[in-house]
Amino acid sequence: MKNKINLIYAMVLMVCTVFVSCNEDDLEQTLENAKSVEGNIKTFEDLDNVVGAIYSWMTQTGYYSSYVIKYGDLRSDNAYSQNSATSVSNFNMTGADGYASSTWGAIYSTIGAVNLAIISDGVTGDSKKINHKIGEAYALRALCYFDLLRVYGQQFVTGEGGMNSLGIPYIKDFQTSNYYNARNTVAECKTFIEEDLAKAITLMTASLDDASKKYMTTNGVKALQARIALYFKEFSKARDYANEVIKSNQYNVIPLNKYVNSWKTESNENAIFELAYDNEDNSGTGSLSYTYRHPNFADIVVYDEVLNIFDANDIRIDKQMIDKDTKTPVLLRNVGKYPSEDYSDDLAIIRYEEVVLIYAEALFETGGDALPWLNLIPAQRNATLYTVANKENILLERRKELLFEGFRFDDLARTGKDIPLTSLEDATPITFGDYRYAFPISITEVRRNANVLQNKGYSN
Amino acid sequence: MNKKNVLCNTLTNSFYKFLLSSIKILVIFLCVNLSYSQSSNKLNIKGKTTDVKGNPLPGVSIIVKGTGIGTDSDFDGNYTIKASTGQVLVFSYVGMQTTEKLVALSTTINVSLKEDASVLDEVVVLGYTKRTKNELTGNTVQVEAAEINEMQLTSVDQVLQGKVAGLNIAATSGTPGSTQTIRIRGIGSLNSSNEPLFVIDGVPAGSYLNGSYDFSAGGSSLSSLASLNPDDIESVTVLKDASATAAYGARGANGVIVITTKTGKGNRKTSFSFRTTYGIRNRARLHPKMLTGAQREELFYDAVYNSYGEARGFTREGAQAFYEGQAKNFGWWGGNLPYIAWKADGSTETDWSKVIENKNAASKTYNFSATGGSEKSSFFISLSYTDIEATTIGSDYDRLSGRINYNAKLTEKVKFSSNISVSNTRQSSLDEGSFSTNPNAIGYFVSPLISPYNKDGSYRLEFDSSAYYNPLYLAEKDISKNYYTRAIATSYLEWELMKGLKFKTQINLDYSIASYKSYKNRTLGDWVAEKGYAYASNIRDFGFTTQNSLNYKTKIGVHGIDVLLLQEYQKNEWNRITASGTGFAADDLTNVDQATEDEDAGSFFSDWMQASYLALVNYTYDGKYVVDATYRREGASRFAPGHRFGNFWSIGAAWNIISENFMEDTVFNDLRLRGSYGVSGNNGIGRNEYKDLLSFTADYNGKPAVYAYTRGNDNLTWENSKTLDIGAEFGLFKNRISGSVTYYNKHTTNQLFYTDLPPSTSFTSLRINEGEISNKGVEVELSFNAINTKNLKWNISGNFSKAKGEILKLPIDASGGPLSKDNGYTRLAVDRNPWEWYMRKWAGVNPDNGQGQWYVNGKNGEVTEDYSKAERTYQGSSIIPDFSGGISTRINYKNFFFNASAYLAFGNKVYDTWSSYTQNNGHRGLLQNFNGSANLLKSWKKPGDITDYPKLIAATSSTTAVSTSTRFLYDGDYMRIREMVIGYKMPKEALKNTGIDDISFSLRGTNLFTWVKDKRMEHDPEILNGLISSQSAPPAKSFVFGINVKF
Repeated sequence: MKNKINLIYAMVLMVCTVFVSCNEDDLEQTLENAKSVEGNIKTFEDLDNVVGAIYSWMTQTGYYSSYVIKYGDLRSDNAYSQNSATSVSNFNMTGADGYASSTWGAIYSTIGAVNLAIISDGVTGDSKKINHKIGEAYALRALCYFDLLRVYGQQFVTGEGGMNSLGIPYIKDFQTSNYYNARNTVAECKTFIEEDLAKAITLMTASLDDASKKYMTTNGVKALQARIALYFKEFSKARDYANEVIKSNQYNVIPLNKYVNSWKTESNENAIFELAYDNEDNSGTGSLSYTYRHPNFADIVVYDEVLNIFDANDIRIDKQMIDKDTKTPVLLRNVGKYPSEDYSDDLAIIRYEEVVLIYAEALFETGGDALPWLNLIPAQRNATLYTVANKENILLERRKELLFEGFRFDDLARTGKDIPLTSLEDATPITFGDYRYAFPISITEVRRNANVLQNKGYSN
Repeated sequence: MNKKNVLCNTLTNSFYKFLLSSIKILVIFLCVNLSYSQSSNKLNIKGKTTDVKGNPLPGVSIIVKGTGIGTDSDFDGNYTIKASTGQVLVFSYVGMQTTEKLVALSTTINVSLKEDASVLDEVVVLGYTKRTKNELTGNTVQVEAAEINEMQLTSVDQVLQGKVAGLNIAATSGTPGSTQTIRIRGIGSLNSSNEPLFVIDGVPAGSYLNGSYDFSAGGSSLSSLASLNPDDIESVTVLKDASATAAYGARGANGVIVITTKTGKGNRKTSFSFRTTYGIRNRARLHPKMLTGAQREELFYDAVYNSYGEARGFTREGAQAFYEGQAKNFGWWGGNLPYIAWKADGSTETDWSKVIENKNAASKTYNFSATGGSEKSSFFISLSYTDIEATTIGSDYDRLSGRINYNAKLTEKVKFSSNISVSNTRQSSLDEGSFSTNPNAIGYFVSPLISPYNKDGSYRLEFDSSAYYNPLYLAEKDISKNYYTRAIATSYLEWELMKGLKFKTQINLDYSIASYKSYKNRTLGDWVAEKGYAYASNIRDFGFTTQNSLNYKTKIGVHGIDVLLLQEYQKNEWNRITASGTGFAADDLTNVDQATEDEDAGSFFSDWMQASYLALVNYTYDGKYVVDATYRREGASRFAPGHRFGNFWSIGAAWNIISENFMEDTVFNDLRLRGSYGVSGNNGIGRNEYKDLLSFTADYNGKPAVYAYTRGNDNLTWENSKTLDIGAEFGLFKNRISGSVTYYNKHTTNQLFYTDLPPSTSFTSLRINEGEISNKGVEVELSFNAINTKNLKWNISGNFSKAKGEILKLPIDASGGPLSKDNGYTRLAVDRNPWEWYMRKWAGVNPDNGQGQWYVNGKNGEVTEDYSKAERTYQGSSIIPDFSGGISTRINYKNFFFNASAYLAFGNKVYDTWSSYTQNNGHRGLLQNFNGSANLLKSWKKPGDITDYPKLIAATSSTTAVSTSTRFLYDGDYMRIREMVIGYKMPKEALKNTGIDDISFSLRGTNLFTWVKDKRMEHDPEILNGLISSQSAPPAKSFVFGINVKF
């Protein structure tokens, strides 16, 4: 019995000595699934991964995977929403609209990733490669802010001051103690965007451009400069930037025989910058494919009138591109762009045809000979060639070629046109300058940040 | 055979099976027991029964346990009875505590019975320690085994509903096994956890171990408390004030719920208990009324007329012709003309709310336990099985659990105890979010024109333009199943070093394995294009706690001293593995192994630790005056180094006035005053939340994508609650009337405030220590023994609490003023009730044109039809009830008993987020593709109509009439009859010589009646977060028949 008691005594002592020591060191919890920001962006590989996140954020549903692209067509005479995006296509958003807040959040989270890359200092490795990566980040930041500006900026809203109207908060820092940034004016934003693109050009090296086209390249930056100059009606700048891309001789208009298939294949000869998707890494039900043509659910309907702007044999209205709905045959659906049922298609953000059309429009506006450039497109689309290059024809060709790619609303807005809602029985056109030419600022932003004012016409 | 017959047959069959198996089990145990009781020779036992003061007690009933043999004591308290060694004598007398004595060698057994009324001797379990009521300074409420075991519960926390003043509880869903939301004394913390701490057998459970395992977003939750068998619970104690909760330091601020399991009772013959129930369950509230096909068609033409009649020149009568003629050309309607096809097909009506209902769902429980032992050791074992069907198709729940408790005296000085339980829970869960596969959503939104069956009786798979899927098919083919195994082992060794000084060391292991399996079929649903989808996850959750303590308890003259020093260390490790894939080659292959595409796998690990030191001192003087103090120093890994340790303390005092000489010969049998003040804490934030973190989960183009996902704060530390609690307890006329009154003021500072960052920062939130809230309240408990005779007893009791919360301080916002945090429905502001409703005020429908209107200033006066012109303002009420309580009554008449209890909450409001869909007057889809509430029948039709339902229109999407405003803000006041039980206990005489001690039968009705003040409130009123936002089944209304046998 005595032995037993001793044994217990020993046991108890053991237990006590093992567990009694408790200090802060015993309270260090595991950090296996993440790392601290501080001190963990050290090598080129780290930086590369941080820049990779910018692209990854761009593939959010609220940004390029669906919303920002579909807005351009839903807010125009190209297409309308049956169910989920009626507030967009009916122009009846309230201040609390979910699309307005979703896209705001999606783009600003992308900008967060950009700024994290840009502020990284002390990264070790080949300085040219490091600079090139940081240059990509600057260019993507410009793209993000340009996209924000064209959705939320009030440059087209009557009475708000045009270029001096409120744009969006242009935030350039990652580690900031100021969480409550105010909106910059449209003109300020434009300047910052141009500065970012110029900075990107100085940092990037053409020989380091990724051949896959899934990353921003020097030509991509120039194409963006051209796109933005065109938007702000700086035609000679647009012409020169577009010309630089064309002169690089790296791209072609996709030929007729490859046209339909080009939407299912990657890194084509017309691609300048596209976002990568595969069958595992995609937006699934949050993708354009799902909203345009998924067999179980399709929200976006193509207006019947769209067929009328094309020649009958134009490849772009071939049954492989626009077809009747399988369930409700009176409705037209886009079936050719974003075609894969597993959502694995890469998404064109900048393609050569756009650059050609920017060049044609800029040439026209600056007195150059635009016609040969304009006709480069219909020549490869089984369509009648234009006999004259005027603004109307150029915008028409932009509408045909860039259909469902998110350009139509901006083309109407930047040329001062009303939004004609053609086949809606009860709809009245939105006249140019209406407050609805700008989305409401995200309700979440406005409620949390007293320094950001809501856009005209919307309440909180 | 039609469907109804099948159902009846299944029901009767399963009832017969159940009855047969119950009888079988009963017979087996009776045989075992009968063979036991044929034991040794009878002795003539004699003795005297007295009260504590030694006065003889005549008429005491003395029964030989399990035999029915009995006698009464005579006028002088003397008795004689025949019994054998090993048998137990039971002494009972009205107003006295029933006492049991083992027949050993002595033939004289004198018994002094204690008064029942002396509640001061009642033992209250505080987790780390126990105190009798007269040593207590804290505010606690204890629910005993009898009450817990009687109710048919899936999870033990449900017993607290309506029993504890100041505790609000609501089911998150009617799916069996899902979690309950519990709030003690309102919401103390603005953004960190408000969940109380659970302590099981003296061990604080980690957050995951008493939380829920939410496997799939939007699916049913599975409460980890549902893994404990309620029949194994000895008591549940709710600790409310600082004196009681400071011992739990950093986790005590939201209150503590102490669960104690049953332990073996030794020195007696083994006794067995068997309990079985069978029940029928239905929805406690009927499904809100939806439109029939015919009603919906008429409303549709109303809408067509309202939208186009004037412009197109047709009358209301002409609306149908217009629709059938020209409207098919409308792009909006997409040529989708459901009514034409429906009428051609015979206008078959389908009520989808009935299709998804599982009527008369069965529930069964079997519970067996045994306890016994010798002088040196004792044991308790139990085995239990529960099987419950949900009231919605496709969901059920079952649990198999076993427990063993073993206690042994290793030597005179050393005691060992071990408590081991294992349970296995299975739950078929339901989608409860806004999914097209959620059966409860289908009940609302699928068109009554769509029938679930094809003409040939097979399931209809094509739902036209409805985004929903046939739930009958999904219930058969899809899988969503939780498998949850939990093993808890708690062992301790207690060593009496010297008289009154005990050393105790305890180790607790709490191990959970929670698996989830999901499969979405290839034929119907969201995963058809991918040819099916399978997902599996496995969570291993391991908690380890060690405690070492020294306890010195002594009485020197009139001085009683009790000191406890305790050291505790806790560690929790959490592992999760997930796998998923699509692309199945054939039907009914449901595992990820057979997936051929999109295969994905993941694993995750996290842990936390907590280290603490605790000192408790309790001093009593002559049983009259009590002073106690608590100090706990605790460190938690959730904060940055340097901010990890916090100090928590309390002091308390009580005066047992009843023990004063001057209280003798008064009407009082109990009177005491108590008060306490102290600080407890809250660390309910995420792990590693204090750091700026990079996430490594994303990828782009096959390469890693790394981004910053949290904004940390190195200075984060505890949230503190300072609570003042003052109360009086009383008993009058031999406890005829008893009760307590308490006032508390809980002041929570240094809030772990979740600052919502504007999205432009690219972060969603930043956690800071700022903000102050006060919660004040009064709690009253009353019990009245209206009749207390030998044959008839009637007790009524109730508890009520009135609470008020107020924000005292908030962080500064961008404009330099106090930050107002706004979620679109509520908005925090200084001097306001936390979570007060903040929205536009609905001003009804304009009788002239049928448009919705709002008050321009958000209060009164001028109205506008432009939603955006109306101001948002505070609407006076909040999501927390002003007043809540419970009432119960118990009547015993001879061998019959009747119990009833009700729960009520008043003064809060509830916002119905779903009404913006179901009552949408402008969503053409509602009347064309989906379905709407029957309330739409009350819609405005012509000028002069006085109604609250605006004009229906057909062309645009939602109207602003359904945007957030007080239109859908309903009174939350409700009362629910939680329990009504009738029971019968067989008289002892009838059980003579059967070997059975006790048999009782009961018929129990749960949630039989629910009263809701606001008739617009069609959902279940048990809501604690204020928003009706999920579409899940309400709690069940059930009838349960039970048999209880003890032998």
